[in-house]
Amino acid sequence: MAELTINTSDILSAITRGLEGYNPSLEQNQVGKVLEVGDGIARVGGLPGATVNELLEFEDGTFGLALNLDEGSIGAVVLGEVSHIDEGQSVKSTGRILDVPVGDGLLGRVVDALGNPIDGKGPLTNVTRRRMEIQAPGITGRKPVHEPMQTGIKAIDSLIPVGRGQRELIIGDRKTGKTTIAIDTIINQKGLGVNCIYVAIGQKASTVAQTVATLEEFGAMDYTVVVVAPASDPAPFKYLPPTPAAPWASTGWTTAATPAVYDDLSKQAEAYRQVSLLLRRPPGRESTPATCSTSTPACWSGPPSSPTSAAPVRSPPCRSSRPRPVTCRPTSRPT
Amino acid sequence: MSAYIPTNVISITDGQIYLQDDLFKSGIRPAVDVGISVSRVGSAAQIKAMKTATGTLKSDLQQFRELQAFAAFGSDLDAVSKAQLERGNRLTELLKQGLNSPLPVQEQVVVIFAGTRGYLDPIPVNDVRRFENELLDWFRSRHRDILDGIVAKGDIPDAGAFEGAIQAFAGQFRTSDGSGPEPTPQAHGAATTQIVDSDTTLPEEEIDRDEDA
Repeated sequence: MAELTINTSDILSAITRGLEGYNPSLEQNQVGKVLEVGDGIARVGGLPGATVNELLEFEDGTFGLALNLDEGSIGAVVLGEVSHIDEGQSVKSTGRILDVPVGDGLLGRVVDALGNPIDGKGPLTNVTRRRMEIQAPGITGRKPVHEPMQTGIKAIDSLIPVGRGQRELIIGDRKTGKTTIAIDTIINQKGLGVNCIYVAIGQKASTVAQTVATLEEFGAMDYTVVVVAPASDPAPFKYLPPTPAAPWASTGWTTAATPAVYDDLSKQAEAYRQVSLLLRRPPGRESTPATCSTSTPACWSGPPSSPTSAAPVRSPPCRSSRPRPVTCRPTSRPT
Repeated sequence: MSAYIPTNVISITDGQIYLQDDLFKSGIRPAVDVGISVSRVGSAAQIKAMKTATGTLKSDLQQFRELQAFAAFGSDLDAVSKAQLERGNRLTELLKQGLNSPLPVQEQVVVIFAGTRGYLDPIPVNDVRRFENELLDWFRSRHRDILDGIVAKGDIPDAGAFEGAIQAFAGQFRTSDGSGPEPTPQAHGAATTQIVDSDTTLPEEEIDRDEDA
């Protein structure tokens, strides 16, 4: 009968082996609570350290965007489904500020408002991430508009010439060819080494699919990224899309002037108004809230051309917008 | 019109392209209303060749529209007004453009130059589209150097050769109703441009309107 011996070194090595790879981690997380949820908006208590535009993670993994930092709570828009978020659930602050992918990997892709690909062509490659809200360059850092942006449309290039860095509104009743002008302009940029951005806001997904097919047919998708927030998306998705166009058009990956088309702006304004009202912010007037032009300054103020860079980057966004129903013939001309 | 655009949208844009439903429905596509569309900063960036070609196109079209409204009453028009109307009809036709068919700027310069300098005046309106296409083919096949020159310099490299090429084309163009090459296209062009020269369009108040007619 074998003698029962206790080999301490064996035991020790077994314990050491077992402990290998164990790192005591003490993760400090600020956790808040959902006080109230509804209409795509969540009111969150706690989280005193949260910053504006910080991503908050809900229990089910959905993200929210902290927009209103009030004394006792945070007003956040939910970037996703609200149906799985309930009062009393915990909310983690992530410390991440809302960012979007930037890079050549975006060309030819169709992405949603947050830069996630939705065209079924797999994940984005060859991209880095940048903050969505960036500071627009100051006045002194810009050049005046001095390069033409050829739309390829005779009536426009000859009589209403648009320059790179200019923000030109395309306005008209429904079905008068606003989108066509924008698409033709993108097609006309072929071979110029120019990247284009087409932002479709509040359109039917089928309409956007047609537009993408047209761009593909003319070989324009090779240098174009399409951002889609279809009509079925919740309001936050519809008011965000013009914003990533700014970091795209103004930083890094664009080496030449980048035309950005926002189609159409009135839907974006409506979505912004909805979010504003739900967050109890002053809504402004005429469906384009006063805060709209200040909340996305980088996007509106377009041309961040720096005199030092060899190839100044400019973004001349064209915008489509529907007027309110015109009931009488206008008599006065704009100045 | 600007009353229909929210004021803060005006303040954050540098102009607007206004599309009209009635223009669209009457077949003028793109339905850009050049009278009320504006570009506040873009003209600084327009290439010189296009500026030269455009000339007084905008005011010509503006006067054409005013005349058109007037002519709708069926009154007799004097020769100057008639020539302006005819020119306007052709220019309007010239500015029409198909879907998804943008034209490179150098080719736009060619056709707009031909329009504003009166080379379309002897052509029937329904031949304008064909004239434009054939003129472009003519330039693409025989005068590539001029087109490339416009791209490279941003200006018409040799104005004489440029206009000469358009004249040569207009001289051999056959209208679809069979009237062969204009006997003296230059003389014809000169005759019409004397009446209504694109550079010196008459101010509206000088147009003799026969109110009694």
